Amino acid sequence: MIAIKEYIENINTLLDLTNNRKVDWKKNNPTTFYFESRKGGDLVHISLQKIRSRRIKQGGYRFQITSISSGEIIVNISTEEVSLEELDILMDKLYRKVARSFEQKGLDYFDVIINNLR
Amino acid sequence: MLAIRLQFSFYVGRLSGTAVIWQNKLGDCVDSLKIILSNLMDEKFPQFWETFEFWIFIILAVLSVFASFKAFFEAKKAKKAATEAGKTVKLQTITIELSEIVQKLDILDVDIDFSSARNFLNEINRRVRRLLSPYQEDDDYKEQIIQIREILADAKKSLGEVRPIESEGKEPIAQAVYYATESYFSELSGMIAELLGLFEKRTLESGVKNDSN
Repeated sequence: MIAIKEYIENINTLLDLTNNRKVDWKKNNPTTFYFESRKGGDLVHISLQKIRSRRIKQGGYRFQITSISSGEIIVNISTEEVSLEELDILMDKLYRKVARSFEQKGLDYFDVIINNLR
Repeated sequence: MLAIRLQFSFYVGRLSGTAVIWQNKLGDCVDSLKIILSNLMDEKFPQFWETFEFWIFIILAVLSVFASFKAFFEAKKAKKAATEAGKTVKLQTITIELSEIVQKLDILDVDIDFSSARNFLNEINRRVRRLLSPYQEDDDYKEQIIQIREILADAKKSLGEVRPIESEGKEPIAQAVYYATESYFSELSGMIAELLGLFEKRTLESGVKNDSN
């Protein structure tokens, strides 16, 4: 992948925005998170999926941007295909941050329920 | 008186002597009779092992026993060959089914959805386990079969991790299911192909053995 450095830069920015709670992440399935955005009139999904793999023991991540109206996959970056440690670390950080935020949401709900019971 | 006694003794002696002679002659007669009878018996009723018919019977009996043993061993050999042939045919049937499974694994649809992937995996799981279960203790194939089972279990786990959570109406993430399972199906295809090679090798070896027999 030629422009990988630029992609890494953008994903870094996305991580910062996520840390600052500027991104409304949603959970599609236990290992895939996404958020919606618009490019002109086109609705796009930006997703991050954790992938198990027998080829790589620790698995990997897949970052994807999909146009909902056309179904076209505009960006598809897989840490399995792009063997770059910097990208692995970045994707891992982003995934953990998003996953943790969902777990925290669940925990907060749970805490309220427990407090109501007391 | 003395003369009478002497005469009496003389006659008694002569009588005894005559009796002994006659006894001896009788004995000789009996012996001769015995010999004559014995010769007659030998002539009319020879020993069974001296008869021609006995030896014919013995030869036939030995040949029959030999033929029986030979027939038994031939039947045993034929049974073994039939069993081997049966195993070969079964192996060939299994090989055909596994080849079909490999082809299905190789053409996995990139846009496969969760339900289709789950049904596909269940079908593959069921068929592969059924086909390979008779060989799971066979040392030639044990290692490959264990690995195949592990891959199937891992694939199921991985598929479970992309089970959709969101309610209907929301778009699933494109190709998420495919990427979650692709590496396992690819690995499974390779392992089954390896096993197919081993089955084909055994089929060839059985064929060579049967031809030489």
